[in-house]
Amino acid sequence: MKRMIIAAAPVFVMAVTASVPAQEINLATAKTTRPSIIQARVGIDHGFVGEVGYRHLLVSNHPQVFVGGDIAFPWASPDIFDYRIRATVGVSFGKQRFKFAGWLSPTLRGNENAAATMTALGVDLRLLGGYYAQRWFAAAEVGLDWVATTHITLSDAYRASVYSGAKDGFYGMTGGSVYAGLQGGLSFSSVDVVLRAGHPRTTAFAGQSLPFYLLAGVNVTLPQWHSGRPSNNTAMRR
Amino acid sequence: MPLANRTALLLGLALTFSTTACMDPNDPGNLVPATVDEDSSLPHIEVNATMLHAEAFGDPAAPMLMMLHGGPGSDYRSLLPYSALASDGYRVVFWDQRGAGLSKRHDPSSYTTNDTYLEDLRQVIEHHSSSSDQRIVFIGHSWGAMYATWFINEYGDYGGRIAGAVLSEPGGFTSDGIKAYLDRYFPPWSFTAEEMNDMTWSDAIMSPSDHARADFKQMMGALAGQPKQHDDPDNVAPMWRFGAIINARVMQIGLEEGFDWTTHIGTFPHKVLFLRGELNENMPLEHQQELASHYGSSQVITVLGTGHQQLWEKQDECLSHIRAYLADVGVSKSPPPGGAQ
Repeated sequence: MKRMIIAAAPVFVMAVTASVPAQEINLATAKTTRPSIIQARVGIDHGFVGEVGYRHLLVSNHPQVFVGGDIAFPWASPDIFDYRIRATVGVSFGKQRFKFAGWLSPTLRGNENAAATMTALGVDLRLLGGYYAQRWFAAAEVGLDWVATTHITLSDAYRASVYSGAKDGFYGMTGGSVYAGLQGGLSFSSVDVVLRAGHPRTTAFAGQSLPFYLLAGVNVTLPQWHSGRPSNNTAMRR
Repeated sequence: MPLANRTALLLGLALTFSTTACMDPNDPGNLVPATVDEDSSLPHIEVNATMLHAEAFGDPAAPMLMMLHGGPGSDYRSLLPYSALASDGYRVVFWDQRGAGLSKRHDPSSYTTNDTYLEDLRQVIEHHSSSSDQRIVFIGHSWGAMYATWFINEYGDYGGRIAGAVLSEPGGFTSDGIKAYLDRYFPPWSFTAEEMNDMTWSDAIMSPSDHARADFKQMMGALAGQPKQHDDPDNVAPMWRFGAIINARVMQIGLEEGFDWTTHIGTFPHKVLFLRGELNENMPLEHQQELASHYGSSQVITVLGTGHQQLWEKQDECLSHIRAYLADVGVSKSPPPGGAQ
């Protein structure tokens, strides 16, 4: 099995790098005069989650290039050991109103439960295609949220009541999710109201505890600040 | 180096690291202990085309106490204190059921009927029988108490051999009864509880894609406890390993096909003892009394100050009730060495 995985690695890597990533942003209205996008989300995604993030539009034309990051916490019962932190880079292609986009997001997740404390490092690859107008957008998305390695520290309770010989350390490919869904939003002057929903499964396409994700939120675009005041310079290029 | 190439390199390194430098969560002994087919040093028996983790204590010819653990999918570790009954002159048989505890795991697609489980129990009885008239008493906890009732409903007293049963908090004897019980049981926590959070959030990190990971994830929930069962958090009933796949399959098949194990137990000719924990909200007294009423003769004893795990948390008291019951139903002990009793 390991041989098959290793043999498939180049194909997987090529597939990842040939693709392009993005989240719930109206690609038709993103522009370098207002390159900073503050995002807030709340909803259900492997728990009741709250998420805040930031995206910065680096390049505005063919392709658009975004960078940013976000942090999410399950809020139903706050626990600082349950978290998700992502850095992200996104690229969108397409002229007129039909655009394709994607985000590639190295992801760090934490979870502390009765059996173990787990810290997982992986990557989320999301591909989108949709219609982006000045006032609204709608897109379909598919993604792979892959866990490359997880550091697991078994709890004292697990060792005492279940298995004293369990091994702490790094475990390879403990799991992850594949998902497919829809996203859309309404755009106002500097605010997008967005909605994202879909269905996650394990990487083996089995069901998960929560069979759907549903997130709502807002994006607020901020003007480019330069020398202490908003700038009209639109020529921020790589 | 272009961004795409750098990304490819990093991902390639990550994939190589995860497949070569990291432990495999499915390797025996890493996250969960090995099963009997993976560790030949574990005590086991082979029946009905499977390998079961099993051991027995006491005189092989003595009346047999057949211990049936809960779940489906749990194991007999928390029942082991009842091996003390061997010194009373009984043959005490422990085993992890098919796909449970440290017994061999099977592909879920190979398990298509719960009749396999019933036949497993019959063959375990025969495996441990020293004679065709050796008397048997079931001692079952939770699912194990249901399992015992299922067997009695199918086989009656098994040709005069089954002399009684001690049933510790069965959930139900019919599929409708189990559905009602599960409605009380789930969700074990509120939707906003930390335990619920942990279960769903961990899905993004660990997938139950093989037996080891599925079992490990199941034990996250099991260790967190069930608030309405009122298990003692400072005295957690131990287990070796929970068989998540067999738990799901037995439950799924049972509920989809439906069952009614009350059709013949009314003619069972022996008194049956029900033990229940006072604090368990899922199995109040009237629930256990209703189940007990299906038997021709029964007694319900409430163990005070405990919940669903009364067999673990109140071992001395439960042993006392079991000993009194065995005397009541006239299951004679084998004479100890030297002839004195």
